[in-house]
Amino acid sequence: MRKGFSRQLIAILTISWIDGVLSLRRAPLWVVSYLLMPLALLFFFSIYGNPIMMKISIIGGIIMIAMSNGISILGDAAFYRIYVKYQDLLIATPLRPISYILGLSLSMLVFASPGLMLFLVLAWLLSMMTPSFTLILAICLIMVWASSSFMGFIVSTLFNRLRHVWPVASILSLVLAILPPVYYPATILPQGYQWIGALAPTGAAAMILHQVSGLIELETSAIMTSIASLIGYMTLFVLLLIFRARWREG
Amino acid sequence: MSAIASRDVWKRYGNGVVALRGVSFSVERGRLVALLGRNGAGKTTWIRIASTQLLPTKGTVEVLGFDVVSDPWSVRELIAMIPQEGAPLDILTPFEFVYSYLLIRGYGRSEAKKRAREALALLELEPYIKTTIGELSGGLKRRVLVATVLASGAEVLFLDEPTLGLDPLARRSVWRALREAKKMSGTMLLTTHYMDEAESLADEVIIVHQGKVMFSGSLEEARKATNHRFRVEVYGDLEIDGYDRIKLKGMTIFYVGEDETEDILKMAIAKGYDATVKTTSLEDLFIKLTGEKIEEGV
Repeated sequence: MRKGFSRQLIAILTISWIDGVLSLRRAPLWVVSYLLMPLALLFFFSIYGNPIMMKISIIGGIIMIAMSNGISILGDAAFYRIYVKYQDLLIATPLRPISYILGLSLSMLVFASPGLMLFLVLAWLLSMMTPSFTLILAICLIMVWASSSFMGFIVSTLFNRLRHVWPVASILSLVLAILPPVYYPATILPQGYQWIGALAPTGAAAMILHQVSGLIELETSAIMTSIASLIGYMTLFVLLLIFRARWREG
Repeated sequence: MSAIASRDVWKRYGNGVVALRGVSFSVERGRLVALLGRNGAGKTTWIRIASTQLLPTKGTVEVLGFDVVSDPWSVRELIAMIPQEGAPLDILTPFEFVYSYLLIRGYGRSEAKKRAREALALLELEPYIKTTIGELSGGLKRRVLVATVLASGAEVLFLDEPTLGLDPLARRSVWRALREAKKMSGTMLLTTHYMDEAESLADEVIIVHQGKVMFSGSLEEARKATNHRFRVEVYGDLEIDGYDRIKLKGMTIFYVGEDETEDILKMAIAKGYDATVKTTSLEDLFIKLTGEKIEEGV
């Protein structure tokens, strides 16, 4: 019998295997469903936009896929807790709550992987994948995925009825992907106010990637706000998770 | 040392509802105990406290000597639980569900595979081992859950209404599974509002009503506690000198010996009331203790 860290690590991988790999294999239509919006926007920009907008829509697609799959933990976590009581089954085991959340988050990344691969290939075909861009992209992706999945889990704990949960994931996905400068350059925001675009983690990640890929030239304050925003959200959600990630109700 | 010791457990929820009012009882190792009561009696609240899901307002529950409040991680090593209305994940096969649960508990891959196969075979689930759970009937799904906790090798199993909502055939298939589980497991505590389930499976019953323990003892003790062999149900208001009666929703119930049943039936018929005679069961103890039938709360 495993104990300690190795037990928790195997548990994380097991949860991501059942909730990610097996679910993806048996319900592949989900991949099509979350790809529809980014592919539709890419199609739109490829017809009506210029080469810069095309590249922006590819970066937007990558961020949107990472974020929307992260947020969709909301539905899974609520379903497991409220409907099938899988969470209750697991509480009466040595599984730590943080391992459960990390397992579910990792499974969201597994689900996102086919879509991410598609958009990364498109980015590569458009010669966007320079070493510096690839490195920054990887960091931004991890932070957007982690922030959105942790946020999704925290939001899921606020609901006790499944019916109310489903629309929240869709609303959050659209708000986080469309309102901030994910699919448009932050340079169209008023001078001196570009930093506003970085108030959402998705906007912050997109602004950094637009800057690194040379698509736009941001104000220094906007760049600094974007970096601070990504780190800040990540820290905030990790702290909230530590606070909220308790098995037992009072 | 008892396998489970509940001492003066109270639970008041945030909305002011008091679900438990000083619940105390103990369960010896190796026993299968039924916590019996109507819906809302406090059974699920108690089992959620005992399985470290909910904090009590007052009192303690110890599982194999470990306090569920102060030492939940020691308790979680020793228990497994089937939640009320819980279901295995539709998208997995029974094998994948049990196997993954065992990996999460800390078993190595080969041991987890072996245990999963054994538990599924024990519960006659081998023919469905590669079928996705979504395609199985309700009874088979519950059996998958029983196999899951059974495979865990946990010393204490908690089962919250394991047959709730199942048809009679499916319930019996789960009972068979639980009888098999009983042979392998150390101690089992199940909650139920089905009298026949408690009588069929349990070594001991604990009757809970409105958050209080009304009776705790073996099935034999429960039967003796009713004092009489027969229950005469008269469908009307009948009063007979020298006989104690219980009035229950338009019905009068008498507990009597064999010789007295005829007298009561004659008097009921003389008054124009229908009447039936039944041998006493656990349900009668419940009626005597609570003044209510258990099914009415369902």
